Amino acid sequence: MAHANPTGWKRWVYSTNHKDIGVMYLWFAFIAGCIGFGMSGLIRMELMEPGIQVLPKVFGITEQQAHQMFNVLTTGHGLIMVFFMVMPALIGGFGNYFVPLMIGAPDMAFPRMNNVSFWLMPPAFILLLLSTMVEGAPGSNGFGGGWTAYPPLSTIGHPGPAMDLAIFSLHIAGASSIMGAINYITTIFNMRAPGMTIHKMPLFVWSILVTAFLLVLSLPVLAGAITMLLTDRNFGTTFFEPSGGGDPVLYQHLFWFFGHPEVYIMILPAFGIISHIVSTFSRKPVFGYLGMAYAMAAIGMIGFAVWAHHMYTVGLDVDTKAYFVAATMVIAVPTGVKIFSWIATMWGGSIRFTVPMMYAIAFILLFTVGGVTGVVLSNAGADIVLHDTYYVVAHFHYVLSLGAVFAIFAGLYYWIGKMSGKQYPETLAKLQFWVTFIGVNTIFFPQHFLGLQGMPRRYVDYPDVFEKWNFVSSVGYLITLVGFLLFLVVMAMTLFKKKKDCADNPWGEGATTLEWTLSSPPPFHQFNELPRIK
Amino acid sequence: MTDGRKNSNGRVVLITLTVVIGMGLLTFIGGPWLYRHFCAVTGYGGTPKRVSAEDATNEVVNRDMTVRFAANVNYNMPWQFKPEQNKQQIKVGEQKVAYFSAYNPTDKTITGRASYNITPDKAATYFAKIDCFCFTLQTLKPHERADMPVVYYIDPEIVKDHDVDDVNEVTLSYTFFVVKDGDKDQADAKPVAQNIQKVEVKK
Repeated sequence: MAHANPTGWKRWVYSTNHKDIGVMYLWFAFIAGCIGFGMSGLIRMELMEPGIQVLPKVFGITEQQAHQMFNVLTTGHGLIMVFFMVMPALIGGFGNYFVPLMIGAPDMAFPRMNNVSFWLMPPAFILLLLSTMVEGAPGSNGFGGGWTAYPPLSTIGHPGPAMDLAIFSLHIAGASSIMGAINYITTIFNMRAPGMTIHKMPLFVWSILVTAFLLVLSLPVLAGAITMLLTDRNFGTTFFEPSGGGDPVLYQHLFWFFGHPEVYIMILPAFGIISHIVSTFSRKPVFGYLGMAYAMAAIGMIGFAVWAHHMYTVGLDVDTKAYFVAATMVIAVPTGVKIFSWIATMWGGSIRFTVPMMYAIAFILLFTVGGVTGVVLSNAGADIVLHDTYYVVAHFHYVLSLGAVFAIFAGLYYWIGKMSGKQYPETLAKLQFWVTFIGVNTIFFPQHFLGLQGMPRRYVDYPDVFEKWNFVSSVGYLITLVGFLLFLVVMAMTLFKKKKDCADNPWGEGATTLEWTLSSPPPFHQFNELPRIK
Repeated sequence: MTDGRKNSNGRVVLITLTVVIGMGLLTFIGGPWLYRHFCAVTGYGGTPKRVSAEDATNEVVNRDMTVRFAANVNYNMPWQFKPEQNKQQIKVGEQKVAYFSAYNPTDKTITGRASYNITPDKAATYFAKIDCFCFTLQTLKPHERADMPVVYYIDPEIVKDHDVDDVNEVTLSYTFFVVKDGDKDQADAKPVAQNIQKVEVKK
């Protein structure tokens, strides 16, 4: 064999191996996730009671400064979770590790570009963290204008360098994602094993393919929009500055033209993972395979035509709103196809309630809850009332924090044996699931009530009437924290095992994709002889 | 696919890169340009129509409208700027002049640009301006005061649009911004006195 087997630091820093890069992405997402989760902890602890008490103590700042600090935390939490946790885990992590395995390819199409994609992420993340430590708005550190970074708050509102660093961070993370997307598209188009037609590809590969197209189409728009912010801030352009003939609302259009596909970028790979798990543990092929694949493609396409439902309050006229309401609701159709196909896959199957399956079923349930509130919010009339309230916060955390994150947990438990060769402890992992499930629902379900009562987002303090459900929500965070600590224990118990005890296919009949035909963990170089798919 | 691979890796990369660069260019060049023209043509987002004097309508319809006027300045604009009438009663199709007065209380010559908007947004398509101080930049010398006119009418097409049947009052709002040094349009700015020609109203 002519292939190299590098060891030591060179194996990781110079890595061109899709499995090693996938593992590094997962660790990166884990570290970023810990920081993002810590930030949400500060947010929830501050909101546990009315008044401003926690942030001044933690950071040694005045109550007045705590207002801005709170918004810096919510901004950081959002950006980190979106760009440095969910995307690296689902796309970079599971995508890199399993797309080549599932299509019977020896590696990605451009292994060195893959290395660049990964190694751009840590500097991007460091820039974002640095941004919280330098001046943003006069007299305070960090950017506090939300992950959406609307001008004029992100231009004249934060004259300090914090916003510029955040912009550079997103530029670099975006470049990384675009390179990754090009790599996936080329790999999936050109490197499928003989006999694996596009209509025989596993659904996870389909989901990554659609996601890669969304990335290629939407990220340049974000890059353009934030570059305009940068030049408006530093070089006197007036793209979003009315005094020069610009319009701040243009930024919102550009941002959400990226931002809406972005939410599907985060959830489509999750759909792919869930399909595999549901099929494996029902011991049945996925119900309506082609429908499932094209539903994802349809969600991706329609996702580009609904962006203004994020901005019903900017003064769109009635006809425009009517269009965006209808187009948004149309997305519920392919999404419904997916939900019902998962249920139909389980129907009549011989179901095993392993931890990944429990996470997958919880995903279906919670994603549906988030989808239903999404349909409520898609109504322009209702949204005028609910815009920027905790109802919206509850909605997108149900689809992302309880949807995408549950899919990450599901995928991790499903594949940890394959990736490490060591199987997780089932009973403790079940406990971890239940604690997390109860915890996150206790956090976010009451936020629907807070939103319907009119509690706005992005404030450090609130009137006393909102006290009870905020308290419940914060208790939910503490339960989730226990779940998170249990997760650390479960992972430590798995990874510190002395013996590799995971069979090639620990899930038996039902796990039909190609990764289960390899050893656990797979050899450093696989498929030197291409598998043939009948 | 592999048995008869049509697309080389390089070709796939070329196509995807073209898409990336295309979307980027579309954002940068297309976005702001398209956006401004789209708003100007359709009246989206409360952008009123601009009509030349020859194209203006002669038709007057028997429907009463109240036009209210609002004048604002951006936070860093020191001018005092206010409408000289709070509202005007007009018939749809009838041309009318409204005056705004601006005063520069500082010892510096300042050039300003007025942005404008119609509320409710849905009526903006039917608000036609024939002449307006907001079409060009305005310069006020130290302690200079100027009356700035706008000639407008409500397009009679409004009676055919049932979405705006409920509208019998519109607000025309201006905000004056300071034009920074080095603005490419600054060269076009003229002192107000020359800039405002005789305003004629068609009867």
